[in-house]
Amino acid sequence: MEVKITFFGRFREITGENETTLEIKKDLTLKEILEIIFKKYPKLKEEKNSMLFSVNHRYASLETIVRDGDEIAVFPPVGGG
Amino acid sequence: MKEIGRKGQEVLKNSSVIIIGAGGLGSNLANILVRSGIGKVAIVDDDTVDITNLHRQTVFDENDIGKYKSKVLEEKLRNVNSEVEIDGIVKKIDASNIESLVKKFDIILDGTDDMKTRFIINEAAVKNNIPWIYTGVHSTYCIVKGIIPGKTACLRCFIDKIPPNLDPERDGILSNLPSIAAFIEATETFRILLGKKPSGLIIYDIWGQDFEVIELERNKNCTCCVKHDFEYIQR
Repeated sequence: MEVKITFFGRFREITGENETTLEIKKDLTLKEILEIIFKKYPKLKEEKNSMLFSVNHRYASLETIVRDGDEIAVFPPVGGG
Repeated sequence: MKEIGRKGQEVLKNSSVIIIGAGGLGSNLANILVRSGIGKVAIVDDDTVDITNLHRQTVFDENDIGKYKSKVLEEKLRNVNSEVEIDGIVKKIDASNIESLVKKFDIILDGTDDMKTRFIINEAAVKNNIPWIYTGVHSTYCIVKGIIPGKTACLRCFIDKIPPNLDPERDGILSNLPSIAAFIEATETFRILLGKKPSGLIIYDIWGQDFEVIELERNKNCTCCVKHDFEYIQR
């Protein structure tokens, strides 16, 4: 089972990637997915309080269940003007 | 063009917008909307033009330095289209004045540069059932989200707490980004004024030319648009 993760904004600089894929063995919550992502990109954990998510183009909370083939977007709230 | 047509242009002519903030987003947006023939454009800002603004706030020039941005826009844009009613308001938006300022307008537009003001706008918009458009820029990317109270996700549906402001001094803002964000925000303004559905949450990284639109459902437990707990504008 595989999920695709796309990073936006400064998360691209931090991870050095626009997108990545993760192998998962079962359905996981977004929170559990994040723990795996933070192990892969430890510096990203510093940003955990300013991250927003969507799964399959719909807003997702940490409790959202992520399944095989799902697409996760990770983006920051943007405050400048 | 068929998307707007003569009838749509009449709708725009009879529409009123209020732009909160006249910096990179707000000044460019005011310029676009006046040229588009929106009937009434109010611009609220208590800041003055600084030389460091000129690379991204394209309506201002060196002669405007030290003058109030909202008044400069009023004066300059009147020369662009004298039939548009333009009102430059020198005021800082806060919880005590937001509702009285925005109540008479068809849509509230985001030209601010901080998230707390956006939370205040969101509550005033939801409480008074006025559409608004959240727009933010940072570094090389922008976010735009049209919000129709009771119909689409509000700001609080997807950002529950005020996040820390990113540091533009650290990351900078690409000079053409606010103009591009303002053009996207203007398009969403036309769509909403003409009764179309907003496009969802738009994220555009102009450096990588990555454009993403995320559909957002309303949060069933939203503090603002579901529970109507307006904690940021309560006095």
